[in-house]
Amino acid sequence: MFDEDIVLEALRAAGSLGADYAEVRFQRDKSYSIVFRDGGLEVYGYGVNEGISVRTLVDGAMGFSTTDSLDREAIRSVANESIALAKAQGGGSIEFADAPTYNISYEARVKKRFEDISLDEKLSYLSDLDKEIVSLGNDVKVASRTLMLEYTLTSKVVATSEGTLVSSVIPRFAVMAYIVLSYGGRSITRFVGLGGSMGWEGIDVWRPRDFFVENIKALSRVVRDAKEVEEGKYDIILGPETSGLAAHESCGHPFELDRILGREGAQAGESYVTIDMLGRKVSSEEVTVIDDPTLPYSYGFYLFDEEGVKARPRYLIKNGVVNEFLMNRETAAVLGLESNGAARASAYNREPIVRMANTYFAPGDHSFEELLEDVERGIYLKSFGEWNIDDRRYNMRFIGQEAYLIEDGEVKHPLWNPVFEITVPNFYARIDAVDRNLEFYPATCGKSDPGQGVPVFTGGPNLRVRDVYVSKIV
Amino acid sequence: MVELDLEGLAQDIMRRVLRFADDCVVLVGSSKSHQVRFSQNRIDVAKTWNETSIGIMMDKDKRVNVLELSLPSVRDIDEVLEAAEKALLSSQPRPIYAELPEVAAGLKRRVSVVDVRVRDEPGRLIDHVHTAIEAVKAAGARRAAGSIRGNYVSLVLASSRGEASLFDEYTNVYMDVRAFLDGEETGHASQLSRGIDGIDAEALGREAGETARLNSRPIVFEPGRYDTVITPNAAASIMNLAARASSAFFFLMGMSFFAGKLGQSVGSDKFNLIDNPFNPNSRLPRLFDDEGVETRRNVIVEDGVLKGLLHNRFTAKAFNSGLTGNSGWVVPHPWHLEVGAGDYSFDELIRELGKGLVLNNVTYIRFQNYVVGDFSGVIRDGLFYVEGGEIKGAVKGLRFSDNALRILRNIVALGRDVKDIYHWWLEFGTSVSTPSILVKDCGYTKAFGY
Repeated sequence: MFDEDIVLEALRAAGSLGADYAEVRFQRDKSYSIVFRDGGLEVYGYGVNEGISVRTLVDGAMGFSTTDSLDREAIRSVANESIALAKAQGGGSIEFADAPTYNISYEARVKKRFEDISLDEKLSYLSDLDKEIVSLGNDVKVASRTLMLEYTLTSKVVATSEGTLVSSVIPRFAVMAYIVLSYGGRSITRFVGLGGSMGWEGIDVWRPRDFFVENIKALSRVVRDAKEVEEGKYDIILGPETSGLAAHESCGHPFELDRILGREGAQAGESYVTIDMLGRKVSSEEVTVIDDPTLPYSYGFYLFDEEGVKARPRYLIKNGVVNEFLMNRETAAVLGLESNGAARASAYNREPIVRMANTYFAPGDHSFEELLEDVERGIYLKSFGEWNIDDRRYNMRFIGQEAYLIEDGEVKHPLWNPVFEITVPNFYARIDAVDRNLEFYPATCGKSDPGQGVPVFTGGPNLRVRDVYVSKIV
Repeated sequence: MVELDLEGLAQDIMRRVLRFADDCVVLVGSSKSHQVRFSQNRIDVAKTWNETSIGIMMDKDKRVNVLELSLPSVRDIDEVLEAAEKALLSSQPRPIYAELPEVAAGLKRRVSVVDVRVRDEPGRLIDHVHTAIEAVKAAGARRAAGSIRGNYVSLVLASSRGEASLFDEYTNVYMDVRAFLDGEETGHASQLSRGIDGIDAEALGREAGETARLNSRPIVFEPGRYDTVITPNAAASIMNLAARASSAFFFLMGMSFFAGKLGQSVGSDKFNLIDNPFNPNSRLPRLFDDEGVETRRNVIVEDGVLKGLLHNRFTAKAFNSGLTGNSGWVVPHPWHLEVGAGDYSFDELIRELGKGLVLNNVTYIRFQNYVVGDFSGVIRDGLFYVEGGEIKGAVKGLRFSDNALRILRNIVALGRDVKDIYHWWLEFGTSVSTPSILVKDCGYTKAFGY
């Protein structure tokens, strides 16, 4: 059977078995992984993960069943299982918000198909990159390097009992590296990567070789020359990598409405954000945080979500005011709103839940130099190593990896592991300026049980945070 | 549904691969799993998975490629293997290569590890959920959330280094219960078992609810270094850092704080760490690894000394070591960690602590430097201040910020209250049997503005 036929067969089965609502998703992820460690090929891997899921509502209770067996009998069986699971709960209170139906197909096209590039060319690229990285080592030693090419082509068909039928094909490609640098008694361990919804042309567009070399040169200086940070109050400028992390962890996650409503309570956690914060001012007018799945060529790109809802940019914080949450149809119904297309699933065998796509602080009007010029004593936190945030997304920390002292508006010497640990409301209250730069990096966002890693962009502009406390690792 | 002939499938794929490869191993896994998730005292969703995975590792002239397929790929297997042959021939020889090992034939279990009700009766999971929710409420907490999952797994391995196929079959069940009074007043309990009856949902709900109530007495506390009793839930999270560090793959990659310390002290002489797939509650009670090597009990740390790493054939060659039966599809990993128990009851550990903290759970652990071992983790579901052997209140706002090696070296006593822990946020996904552990001078930091 063709993919659409499989989906429609399952949908018919669920309808005939008594589902109040049924949604069937076929997904095929074809992935290639090449890992090159310390100058040699560690592994070349190819994978296909393919199957269907049937999600149903019966009397307000939800069932979800999946199979990778695509014969007619198996499809009917999985539809039956989904309904039986919903019925076994003895009723529930789940409703889905109304949503327009679509019958549409779309594809993110590439210029150079990853599959068409010979393995030889890919290995040559990694080998040359590896040699260039090794050549950077002199007094600072490149103690270990692992280079990776990761490519996934995702084909999907989503159909609902309400009449939606959406097909999509989205490629995702990333070039990643893990590097260990050492000098004297010090070392730095660093993950770095570039990627997006592209094919092999990403190598020319992103220029990962230049990016990695620049990173390693900068971190070589850090490991050799960085001075211990003097604990105390500083103004901080977060670089695009770090501001992207902050937007993702301290705005994107706590604005997921399933967390706010408690559905992730035992897993990713709940949220310090409450529904009555809609419309509340939490930051300066300079601050707008957007989550936008429609960003072309982005790692988190999609145009329709897993419930067949049309995606759009979500303005989570707009000019300093809480503007909207990330919602799927189930959570939107609780607020009497429409879904804003945030239902995502990492694979055919995962339930669609509320997720981010590409979350970032909107660029402002300043130049980077303007951010710097009235900082008397500050730290430029360009990249980070360690980070985490509590399960209510209230208490966050990250440690600078490439970080510099700022004195009287000038970037000075590198600093060793400055620790930035702050409550989220305090962080947003102290942002006073955002520059006009915009850079993005591929990342995998984790959530839920079983775990779902979905591709996202993090990144953004440089932004300035006034008068915060910085410490060091003890 | 039609029953699949897993062995026939594995042998058939192996024969096809051997038309162009020197060696090949095919691992076919079939599983049926159920999960029930709940929050706000009600069920959110009940799920079932029916899955078949096909892993293929192929060697030719020291080139090694890996394929991971789901069932529909079988219909296109000729096309898939044609592409695989092309990729294998244009691949590069591994710098460090070891031949596929001979498989261990005739492996048999001494005890059954299958409870078919896990596969056939998902309604029993729903019953456990209702029991846990009621127990949370009875313990005085307002809201319950959590999940319970049961897995039935059947495996067949065919290898060009053995005439007969290898077979394995097991089940496991694990449940998490989290109780809430208000946002920060939470408690948690979890349990891992082989079968449905091994889960005591009532006890889990009660423990989570009572811990949440203990959290309702907040006290102000300054960051610093404090002697700490780390409960099994938190200890399992920390031991997952050791799980990754003990994999020779990460050792080579520069992602292990054990790197360079083989044969040296990495912990207190009271600290012992073993990988034991045969533990009665191991989540992965595997008979053989992904290369067909018989699994076994491996000592990682003995009396504080790093005795051995966990290997696949390539890392074993790199370290001039024997095989340990820990091969995953690419990365060697533990099956189930055991932390050697001590003599103390939990109450005796608290008395030994005298004045300090009890760390009930730690999540979201991230390293600043994998080699050095500096990390921090988020505390949840209880950090309690103890003085004179009594809990005086719940400490809010601190973060567990320390160094992995320093923690292992600062172990001063271990309990005999061993629990089998597996829950979704364990950093390396390794189930752990561990007692409570008393560690001196643990580091805690606090956020600006808290």
